[in-house]
Amino acid sequence: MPDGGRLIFLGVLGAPYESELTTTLLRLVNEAIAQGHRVAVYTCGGATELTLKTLGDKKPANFLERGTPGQLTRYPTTAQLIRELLEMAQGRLQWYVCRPCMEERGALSQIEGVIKHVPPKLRQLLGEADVALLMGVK
Amino acid sequence: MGVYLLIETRSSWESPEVDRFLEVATALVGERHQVDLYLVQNGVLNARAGANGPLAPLIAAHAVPIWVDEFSLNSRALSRRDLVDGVDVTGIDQLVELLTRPGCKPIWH
Amino acid sequence: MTPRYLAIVERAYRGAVEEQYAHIIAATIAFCRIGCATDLLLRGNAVLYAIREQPEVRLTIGATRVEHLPHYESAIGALLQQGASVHVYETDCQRLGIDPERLISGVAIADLGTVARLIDSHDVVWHW
Repeated sequence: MPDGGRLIFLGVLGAPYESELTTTLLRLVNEAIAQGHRVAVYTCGGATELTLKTLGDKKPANFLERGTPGQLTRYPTTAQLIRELLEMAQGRLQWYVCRPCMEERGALSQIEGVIKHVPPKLRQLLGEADVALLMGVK
Repeated sequence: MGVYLLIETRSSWESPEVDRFLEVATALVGERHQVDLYLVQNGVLNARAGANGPLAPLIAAHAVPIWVDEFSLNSRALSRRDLVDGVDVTGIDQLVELLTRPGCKPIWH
Repeated sequence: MTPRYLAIVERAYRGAVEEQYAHIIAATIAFCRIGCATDLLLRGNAVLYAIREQPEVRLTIGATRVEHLPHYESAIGALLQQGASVHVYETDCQRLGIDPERLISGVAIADLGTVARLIDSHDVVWHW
């Protein structure tokens, strides 16, 4: 990763939709990048589903908008938002997906730009990080 | 002296585990460590005026800065006027600044 | 006679970015629209969903402005327009310091006896 700022390791273990963990994670990564830091995110468990390619860029149409005139509202998916973060970060964000967790959940099709890796990689990431925060419960 | 950042995401009503976690803040201060407490998500509800409990010892001791995430407050239709005295409303930028202090040991709950 | 459903929502604030429009109140509206008349009882921290004058919160992630995070006030308003009843549990309102005048117009306060009567008067109860 390019130099600059602190290297923040975020281990993310909670599944989407269970709490506001994902919302806080995206806010935190967005702000850390904006402040000039480097971030390594390692998703485990249900968090490996955040970057599923099959989510596409936009959520399915809002069922309550069907039948209303005009263009349907477009709602971005977590996959799209994480893609945005990777682009904004210009190399200062690395998004890892735990391969065993991914395979256990059938979350095999991941977006371009994320790195599928095995848990021993954690040792290297944690050794390099200036600070490590584990978020959520597997 | 250690530098600790405790991040609480749940309200004490949701689980007695929250009170146990907040007691850890008191214990760390007792061991003369530097502790900051950041409340986010449902954790901001612990800072409500009249919440009667979990934060009171920490506020009374003036030993732990208590930060309340404004986005989480707004999402819950709450504002500064709904909170106890002795806490600070702040943004995610503050969380990143706290997190990136040298030697910071963060714990997410 | 058409069955009547009761949705009790207690676990609150789950998945703002993931759900956006597709939260439990929206699902309840959808049930009403397809002919499964559903009433709503809010308990726990979910009583906060019934507060009036909720701000519309937005986020910027990367280059994307996430404009439509859950706004429960408008959703409950839409649910009331479907003819559904919406109750909030009194004890949780008191715990969270919510005075009745802070509630959305049309939302009723339920004590435990009312909760029991709501459950008894509905054919199917979902506790979320």
